[in-house]
Amino acid sequence: MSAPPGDVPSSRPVVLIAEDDPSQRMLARVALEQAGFTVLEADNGQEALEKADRESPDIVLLDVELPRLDGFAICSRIRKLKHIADTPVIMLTGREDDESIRNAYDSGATDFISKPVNWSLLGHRVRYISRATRVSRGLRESEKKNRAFIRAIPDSMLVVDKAGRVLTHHRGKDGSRLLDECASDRRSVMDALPPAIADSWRRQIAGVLTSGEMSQSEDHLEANGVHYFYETRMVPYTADSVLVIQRDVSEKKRADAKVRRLAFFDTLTGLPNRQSFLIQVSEALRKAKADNSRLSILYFDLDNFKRINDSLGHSTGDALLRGVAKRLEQCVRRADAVARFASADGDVQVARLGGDEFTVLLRDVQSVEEASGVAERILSVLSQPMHYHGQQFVITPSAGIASYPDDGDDVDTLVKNADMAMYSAKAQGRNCVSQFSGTMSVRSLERLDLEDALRKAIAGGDLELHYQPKLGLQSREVTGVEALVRWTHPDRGPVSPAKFIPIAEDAGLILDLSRWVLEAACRQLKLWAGSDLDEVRVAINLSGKQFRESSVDRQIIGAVDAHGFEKSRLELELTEGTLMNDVETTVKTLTRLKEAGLKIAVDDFGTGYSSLSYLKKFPIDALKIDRSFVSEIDAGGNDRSICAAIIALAQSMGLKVIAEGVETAEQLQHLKFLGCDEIQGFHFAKPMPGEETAAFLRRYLRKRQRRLPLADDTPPVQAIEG
Amino acid sequence: MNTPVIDPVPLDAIRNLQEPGQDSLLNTIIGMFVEQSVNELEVLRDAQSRRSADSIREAAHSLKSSSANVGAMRVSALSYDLEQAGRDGALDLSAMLIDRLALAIDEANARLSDIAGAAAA
Repeated sequence: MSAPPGDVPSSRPVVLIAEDDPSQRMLARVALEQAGFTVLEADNGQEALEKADRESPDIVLLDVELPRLDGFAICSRIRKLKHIADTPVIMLTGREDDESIRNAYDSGATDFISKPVNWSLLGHRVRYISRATRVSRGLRESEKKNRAFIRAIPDSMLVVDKAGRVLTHHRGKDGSRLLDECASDRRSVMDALPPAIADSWRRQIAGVLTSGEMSQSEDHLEANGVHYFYETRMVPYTADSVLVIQRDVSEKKRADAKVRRLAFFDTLTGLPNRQSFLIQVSEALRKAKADNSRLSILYFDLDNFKRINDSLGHSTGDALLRGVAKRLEQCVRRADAVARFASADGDVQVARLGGDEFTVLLRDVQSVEEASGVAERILSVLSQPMHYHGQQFVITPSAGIASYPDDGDDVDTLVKNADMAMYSAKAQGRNCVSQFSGTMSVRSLERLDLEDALRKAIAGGDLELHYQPKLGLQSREVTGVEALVRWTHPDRGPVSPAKFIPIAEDAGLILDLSRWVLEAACRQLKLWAGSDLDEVRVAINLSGKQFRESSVDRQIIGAVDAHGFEKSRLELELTEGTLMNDVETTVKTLTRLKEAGLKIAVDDFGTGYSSLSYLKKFPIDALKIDRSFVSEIDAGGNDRSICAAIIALAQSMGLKVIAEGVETAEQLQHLKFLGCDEIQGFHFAKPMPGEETAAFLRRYLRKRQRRLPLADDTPPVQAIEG
Repeated sequence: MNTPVIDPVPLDAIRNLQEPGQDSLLNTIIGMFVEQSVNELEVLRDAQSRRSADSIREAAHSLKSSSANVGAMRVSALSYDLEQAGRDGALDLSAMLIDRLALAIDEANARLSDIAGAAAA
């Protein structure tokens, strides 16, 4: 009998036999050696324990009755020695000796063999026990590894029966408290899970047990206001239980949501951004086309936002934008604002396109009136004063509406047309709603671009005042300069005032522009005040719209006062049309300005329908002959007569006459002959920036002073021409 | 007595362990038992004369096991009874059992010697 190869480990396992009877010890040795073991012997208990401790045998055979220490005692002691505690121990007991067998078990023996021993079977018996020990030791090892593995896994794992009762449970890193509680109470998870998830789990458990396949789901739980997301996997565990692995993906979900928020939401206001608005519109449009419904895009822009932002800083601007966003959201949620839309969730969506531009998308709109009703309501809510850090602000928005199918059937066209309608609302005087109409498309995009750029220019930069000197023909002195606004577009370069002033008027920017000019002129006058240019007078043009503002006189006088210079040095130029618009008011306003010390001139005289009787009522200082008469003065036509008449009229009224647009010496000679007081034009000087103007004025001043002693016989005009 | 003097099964088991070319294991074991059983009998008689029940129990236990090992079942059965008597302190009974045991040992050893002789031949 020899051990089958491969059945034992490569080195022979060591067996310790403790037996006091020499013949039996001998037989045991022979039998075990034949079975492939290396045999250690002990003939008493003490020796057996010492050898076991020292040699760490793979297996120990103990006779029960041994001198000095019996087999049970040895076994108990072995179990307490850490390095050999799990060594299999076989007790040799008397046949049918129940008590010994029980004692053997209690002292931790692995197995027993009753005496008399069947020696020919002993080897087999020990090999079987030895293998079983290796197997169970291997199991223990692998269980230990599994435990380590499971401990390292962040997922929660539980084994549940058909009813969802938790049989075993491993709490994951971020394990849901809910499942932990179920596990500790041996409750069914079905009682703890929200009904929808419980139903899904019940179905999955049944499915997994029937099919044997894995099932996967994503569960969303909410506890104490915190949202948890789990990826749940279920696999069959035993015939009637299921292993559930739950991975907490809440963090990932939150990260995903954040990415989505950054990509599709405006970080300042939390509203959907342009990107997501366009997607929403495109989806809504597809649906509208499918079910033949209407949709409207409301486009809002805050008229005075840029000025607030520039003058009070971005934090104020940001706060206002957030305020507007909040109001918009409240508007579309509140029942009284957009009743029908609020009831159908998702039929109305707000977005911020950027800057101070907001949009509202209305789906399933019944009529044009309905859309403008919503827009009007929103406008009135947005126009309520806002408070920020103790300051009150009134935002005046303008709104444009474009609807499918009337105003376009693709996203780009609809958004562009709503934008155009919004510009049209601005042009109509702001704080109003404008429906898109076909005529608007005549307004070119170039024009819209210019409007936008001009708005930016007024808000900050790009605008500049140039000054064109006026010459007194008798005194040969520079009598003053006219301030002319110049705009250099960042991309297009200089834009002619003839082009941008009408745009400013159309776009409702003329007031802002006029105010800017007033401020800039006052700054220049302040700069010159107290210098050698102390007496230079600056004329600015007042637009009709500005002049009709009820507070125009206070504004102008206030601006001069704020800068502190002699009021007579600011001259106001107004066109005939402006003056004749509302004569009563004009007289009052002009009188107040005049009394304050300002000079007033009528610009472009001769082109409008001036009533001479009214003209007499106006407290004015000068008339400016329109350049169109001057340019043809030497052509032999009517223009020379008109100029002569204007000059005569002015003289009769005691007004000064100034000719504009004088470009040649001939024109100048005619005007001088007719008795014109002052001229302005390229022939004398072109409009120049402030610095250059100052240099020109100083140069001219010096020239005059040098010539002064010989001045008597030198015609002043020729001196200029030279 | 129904118990056989010698049960051949344990002896066969020992024969099974025999490796070729080696001294007879069975003969060695029988030789050891014959010597041991004679010694144990003397220990028992001495213990009986000293009226030491403990010593009787120990020696009987040892003999019970070693006799069973060579199939000397009658010796083993008597040893069992004697072990119990020793445990119970029944010294009158043990005296009687020792006398019987002596006869059984003689009988068993004779038979075992025959077996060993036959194996050796």
